[in-house]
Amino acid sequence: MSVESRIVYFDKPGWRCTDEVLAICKRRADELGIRTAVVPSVTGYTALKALEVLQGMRLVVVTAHTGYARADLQSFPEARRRELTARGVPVLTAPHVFGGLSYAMRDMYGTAMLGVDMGNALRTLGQGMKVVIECPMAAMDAGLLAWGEEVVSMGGTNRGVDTAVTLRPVHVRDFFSLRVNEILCKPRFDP
Amino acid sequence: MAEGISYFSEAGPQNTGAVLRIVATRARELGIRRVLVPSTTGATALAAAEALAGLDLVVMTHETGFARNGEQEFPIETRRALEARGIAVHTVTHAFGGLSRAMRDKFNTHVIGDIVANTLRVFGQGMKVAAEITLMAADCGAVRTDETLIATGGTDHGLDTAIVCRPVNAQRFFDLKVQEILCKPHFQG
Repeated sequence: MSVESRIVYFDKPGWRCTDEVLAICKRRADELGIRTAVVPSVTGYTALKALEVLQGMRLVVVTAHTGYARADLQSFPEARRRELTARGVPVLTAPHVFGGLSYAMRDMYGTAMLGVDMGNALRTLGQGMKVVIECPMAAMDAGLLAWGEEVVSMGGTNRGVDTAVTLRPVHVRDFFSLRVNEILCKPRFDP
Repeated sequence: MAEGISYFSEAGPQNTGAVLRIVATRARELGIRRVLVPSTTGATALAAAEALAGLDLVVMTHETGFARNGEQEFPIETRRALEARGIAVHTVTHAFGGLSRAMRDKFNTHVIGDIVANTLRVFGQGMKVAAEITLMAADCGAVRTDETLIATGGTDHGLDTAIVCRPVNAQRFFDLKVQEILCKPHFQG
């Protein structure tokens, strides 16, 4: 049996898709009864936008790890983190699942390791598709998501979001059992 | 732009007919002429030959020796029958298998091909197959890397996934970009 659904393709990847992605997520979450959204946010822009659009949903915000851009730097402003936390929105800062030691090997020895290969394989569907897989696993390992609960997960290219899926998150150690249920939107990558 | 996508309640060959109808419709809408179809026993290739008449069908079989040394699972009569109808049937080393499978089988070690394949399986086994046969078809010269086509994939047998993409060679795998996902299984969990 098959179910016809809708997918939105953006002409170009990038932050300009953010408003539409959030609207798509809200609509589909309401249709499916999904209560939780995982939102990547480097500077807080996407997190605040999500808070505005995804009213009534539980948000889990995942930032870039501290030191991602340069040593000790955390790009997510502390004031925004406090504001979100005060409003009951957890803001997670944790090692990147596909980065970590794999990036250390890449940067030091020019050798692509497990996480780099996996991230690049997912990028065949767009940079955002790598993020939508990575963030929910980090949130699961941090204890911020319930096992077995379907969520909406968003991802982007540098800033904002341009991709969204529905899935039931797994812990990092169970990565290979993860399955994406629906793809709500993504960039189209016309040649 | 909003387009349709179909989700199958279960992965597997029972979705083959629906996949082929979806492919025919989208190929017509996008003006795509070429469709890649994986086929182990020939059944999917024959079904595609009927459903996609008028399109340029490229069939990719299992590599010889996939199941047993020296054995090719695709019947030679079916291959001849398809070729007589102008349908190309190609048999080459699996892009994600190859040496990676040799490492796995001999040393119980998973290397790049297994990792890439298992990563793509988060979208279903069919997505892995669709991407893999695209590389194989490019490497054997069955398709060009400057044309947009539809690639299909399945779980064990038949079809349950279809994508729109522009092929790349295996050595440029990380440059592959999936443009559209036409259908895939839903994993209710």
